[in-house]
Amino acid sequence: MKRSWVVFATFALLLGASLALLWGVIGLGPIKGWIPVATFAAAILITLTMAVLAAGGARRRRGGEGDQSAAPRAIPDFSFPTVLAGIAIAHMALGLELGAWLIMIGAGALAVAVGSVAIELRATRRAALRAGGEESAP
Amino acid sequence: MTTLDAPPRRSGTLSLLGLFGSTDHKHIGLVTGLTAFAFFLLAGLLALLMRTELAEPGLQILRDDTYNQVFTMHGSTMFYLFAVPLALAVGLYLVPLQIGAAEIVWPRLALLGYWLFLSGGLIMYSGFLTADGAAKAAWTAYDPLSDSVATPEAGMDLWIIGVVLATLAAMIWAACVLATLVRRRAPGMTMLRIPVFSWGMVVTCLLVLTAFPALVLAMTLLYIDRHFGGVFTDPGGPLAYQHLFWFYGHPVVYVVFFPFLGAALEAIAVCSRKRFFGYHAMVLSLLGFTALSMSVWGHHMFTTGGVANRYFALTSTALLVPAGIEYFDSLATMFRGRIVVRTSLLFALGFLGLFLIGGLTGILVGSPPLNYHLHDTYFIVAHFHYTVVGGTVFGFFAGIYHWFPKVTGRILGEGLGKINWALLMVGTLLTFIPQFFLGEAGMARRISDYPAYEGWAGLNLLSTVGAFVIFLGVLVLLVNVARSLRLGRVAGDDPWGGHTLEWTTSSPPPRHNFEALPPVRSYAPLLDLREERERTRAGAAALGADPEELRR
Repeated sequence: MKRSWVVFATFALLLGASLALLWGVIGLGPIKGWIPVATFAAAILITLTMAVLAAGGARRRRGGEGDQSAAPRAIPDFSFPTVLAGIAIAHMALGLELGAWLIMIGAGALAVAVGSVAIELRATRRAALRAGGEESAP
Repeated sequence: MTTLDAPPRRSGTLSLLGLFGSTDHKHIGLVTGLTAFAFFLLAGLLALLMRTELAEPGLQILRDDTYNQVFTMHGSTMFYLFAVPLALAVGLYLVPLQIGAAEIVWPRLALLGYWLFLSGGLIMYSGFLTADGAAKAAWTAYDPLSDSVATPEAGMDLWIIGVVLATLAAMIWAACVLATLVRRRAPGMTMLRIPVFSWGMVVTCLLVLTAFPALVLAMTLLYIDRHFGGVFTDPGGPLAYQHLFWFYGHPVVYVVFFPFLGAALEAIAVCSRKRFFGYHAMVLSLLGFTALSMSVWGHHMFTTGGVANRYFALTSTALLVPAGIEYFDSLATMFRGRIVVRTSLLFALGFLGLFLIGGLTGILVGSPPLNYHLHDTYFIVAHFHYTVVGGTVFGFFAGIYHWFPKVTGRILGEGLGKINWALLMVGTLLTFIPQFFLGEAGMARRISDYPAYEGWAGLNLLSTVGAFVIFLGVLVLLVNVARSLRLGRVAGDDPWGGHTLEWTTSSPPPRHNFEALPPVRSYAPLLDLREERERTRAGAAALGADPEELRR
């Protein structure tokens, strides 16, 4: 289990064993027990997706597992557009209760926040390229 | 401003505004943890209100309706706004340090998560400002109690929105921490060399990402049902809601347990001055524990008659096996160790003892025939408080005393620490032991009053006294923290003789965590380095040579 995808695959296998036991115990009628089976199956699917992503990522990266390349990575110390995005999403959620006017205010703020994050990403990408490095993910 | 243009900045020199907008994982973890702790204090005050009301028969300070709001917000705050965010906050702070990473993956997303969490908490509490008050359908919000007929008030809607935002935040943090563990490990650090605490975070994040979507779905469907109907209205609707809720609701108690299990085990190993025993068995048992924790949710629904009791009783009892392995490993780590009795070790031992009480009583209520008698009584309340207080709170306190020097550069006072521990131990036992007997005698949970003729008053009064002793214990911690921040002994990089990579860097760590990393050859790289130096020194002494020359 030295590699991360093996951990996810092992976990998915254990969940699958549990699901098989549940299936064997409750049977599978047309409706009876479909929610437990569906939620279990969804959990297994999510875990397998993580295993595939982890395995694919490891193959893509230089030197296998780990991402400690020598190239510098550019990250801003602060990201106030991200703060604005969080507050905007909360406003939109609260607008479900208080009215569409708040949803629209939140949407406008979110648009500003997304645009600002895009500008921020461009700036960090340019800084990284100047230093001969790579851009970090959001 | 990017770090390429600016000189290195040490943590702790930011303005308040900068702290809340920082992309440094340490700042995000710190503000999240502090915010979660503030919610903990709020929920604690709600608990004291409940215990004050229940100290004697009759309604003294709260009406029935207000009491319902108080226990709903107490439970909701403790899970959605304290325990889960705290569990992920310690991971946000410590995982990159433990695995030798300079940064967390997706730092902006992690920052977004904090603002969703804070907003969710404030929206949830804004229910108290509405005409009919906050949500009052318990932290589980069972349908039909939470539907628009039984609970039409806006407070319930605000609660649902708050829960969804806080849960989305948790999922974002879990994705960031798990991606960091996958992608940013130091050279030589395979998955079987990451520290025990980091393994606790691996399984925690797996649980969050696989189980929490069920809660988001349940809350979304509940909101739609309340406003448009037709979701949980058929005869199987309430049962369907419970399936969705508990598919999240049981794993969440392990989400708030595994990180603090890891913290307690780290404290035990360091205070025993010995390598952690049974690392590989621990890793396998954690994975087994995690898979089982997702297979037991039906034991919350034994009395509905709508679940396969045999299956869920079997999986619930099987939890004994991985738990037993972990207990054995922790005791074996201490066996023949050169133990130093620090406050962190006391809290770790308290964790083991109190969680054992919770776990053993869990085996009792995991038996369907016994569950029919004990379901929805104070026995259940006592059982889960032993697992949550013993697991989360005591494990968290072990972590505070262990890692406070790394975060702040100062050591917490040991004298006040031991008083803190003693008050919390006594308070926890005094609060919850009587509740086992109350539950067995038939006292139902979530009731604002009880008849005097039942003879429950004495035990309730004892429990209330215990709650106030816990309150004193938490006050002592706050005093200890305030005092130590200004007057505490300066920590240095490694005050305890730590085993893992976070103890190789300064206290507090710099912006990108490490200037250099030692070689990683096991799950205790610093201990390996120390043992190698001692072997070199011993060898040099035997030969009469210079150890530095030999090492070169």
